[in-house]
Amino acid sequence: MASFYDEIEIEDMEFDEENRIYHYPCPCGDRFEIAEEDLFDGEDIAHCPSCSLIVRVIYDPEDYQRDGDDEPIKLDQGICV
Amino acid sequence: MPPTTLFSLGSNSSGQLGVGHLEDSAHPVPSLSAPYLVHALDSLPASIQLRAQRPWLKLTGGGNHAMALTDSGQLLACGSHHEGQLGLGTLRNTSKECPENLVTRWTPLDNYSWTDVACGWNHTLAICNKGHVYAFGCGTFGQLGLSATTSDQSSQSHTDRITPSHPGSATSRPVTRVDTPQMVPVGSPGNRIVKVACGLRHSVALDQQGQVWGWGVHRHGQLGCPDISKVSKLDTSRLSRPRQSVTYHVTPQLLTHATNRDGEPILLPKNIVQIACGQHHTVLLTDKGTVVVLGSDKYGQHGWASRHITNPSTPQATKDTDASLVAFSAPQPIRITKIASGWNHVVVLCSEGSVFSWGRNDHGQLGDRPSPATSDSEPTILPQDSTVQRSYPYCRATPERVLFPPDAAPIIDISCGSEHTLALDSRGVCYAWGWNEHGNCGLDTLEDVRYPRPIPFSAEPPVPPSEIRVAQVGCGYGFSLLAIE
Repeated sequence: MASFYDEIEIEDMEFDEENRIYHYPCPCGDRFEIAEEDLFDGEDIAHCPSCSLIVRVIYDPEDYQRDGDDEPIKLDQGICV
Repeated sequence: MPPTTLFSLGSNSSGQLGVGHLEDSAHPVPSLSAPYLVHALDSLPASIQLRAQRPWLKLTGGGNHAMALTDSGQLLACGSHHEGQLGLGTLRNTSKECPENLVTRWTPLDNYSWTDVACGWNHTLAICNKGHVYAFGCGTFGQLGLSATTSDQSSQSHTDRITPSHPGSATSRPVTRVDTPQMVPVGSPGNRIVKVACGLRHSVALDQQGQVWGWGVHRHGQLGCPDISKVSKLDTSRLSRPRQSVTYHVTPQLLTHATNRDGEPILLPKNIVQIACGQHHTVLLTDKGTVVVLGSDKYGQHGWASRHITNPSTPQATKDTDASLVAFSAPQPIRITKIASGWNHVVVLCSEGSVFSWGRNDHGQLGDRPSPATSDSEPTILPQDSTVQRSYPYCRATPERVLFPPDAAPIIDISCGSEHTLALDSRGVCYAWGWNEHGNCGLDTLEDVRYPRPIPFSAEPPVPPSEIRVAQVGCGYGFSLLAIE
């Protein structure tokens, strides 16, 4: 079983708008990273590119659902019909 | 004291070792000064190696940057300047050795005489000789203590701008990035700031009256909790929860209360003499030798399990501190001389040269030895303490004495990286233990170091080990700094 360095709530992560990546400090100095796309795919493990540590990202999968189109829609933004 | 040369080791992806390149090192390598610095500072002889004629006031670092403070008040910086955390302003020169916003040799800041410095993940605090706090680097979470409306320092006296913010009504925006030192509205001419400390995304400052001010992230209670008398009864339920509705303070707030082990807000002692910060917690030392921890207790950082054991480290109620807040109190007549904190573990140094530790231990951060007799076998895993809620197996909420090799002299200094610890003994031997994936424990290996082991030196030209004496130690998150005589 993978051993997580920590569990990080998505609210504590910073979001890189340009690269669509959520990131959080790693104790080595680099950052744990997970792509927004990975969250839509149901992934929850953020990796540090510089060391072996990984963290589990705590988020509500309902917030990261695709609506069938290529463009993902966040449910909490509401959908007008 | 003879001149010292600065050596560094460990994680170096942003040049924070100050050794002229970006490669990690699993053994101590000599730090280098910026070429023009050779002639700029009296304390530095004409050598490219960073040498100091007198003791350093402080060696420290953050996620990707390092700071060294000379006893004449000069700050030297190296590492990442992406968020302005080196305070060097706009950097124009980039080279193969120094890519954009990376400084791989120790470079001095201009024009101030500094008395203390502390580094967070990507921000820095420093105190000038007038007792004012200056901040630089990233302020996204309020960790600079500068609000967007108060960053103009020209018109008002800085004491006028200490405005209390109330939970839920924080409307001011933080200054998000500053690349030169900016004065933080904390302290006053009659009540100077004497020490600063930084967590991952929070900052604390100790004034000369023994009170502590804090700003930045507040989510885990690392800046204490509101006074219960000022909170309506309907709201008190949230006080017992570690997560609070206010996520960060943009400007400095006086730390008045902290939640105790029963979730009640308790008045903090007002005679604080030292401060230290972990990732999401704050450690305070009172002048009576009592240690109090605020904020995250996820790995037993509060040391509260010690109420269940009877050994010299069992907290005793002291006149100055409510017993339900106490993490550790040294048995009389021993005094605590220094507190240090990693991201999730706490280490204290006592006057007779002993060291106690508690908190996270999954990479050997606490330096537990199986017993004094054995040395190289794996340490036994301590049973979990059921009184502390733990999500992770390897932590200890009970302060216990760190056992050093039999030939170790009394310990005279300690320092913590994010997940490793250094201790210096009076012979000048530096011991290291904990997470070692970047070689920050200096044993030419990347394996975790589960108990204190001396850092070996290979000097050029070779000198007998007995002639190498470590004079001072300091840590950044994944790296270590050593001043060598």
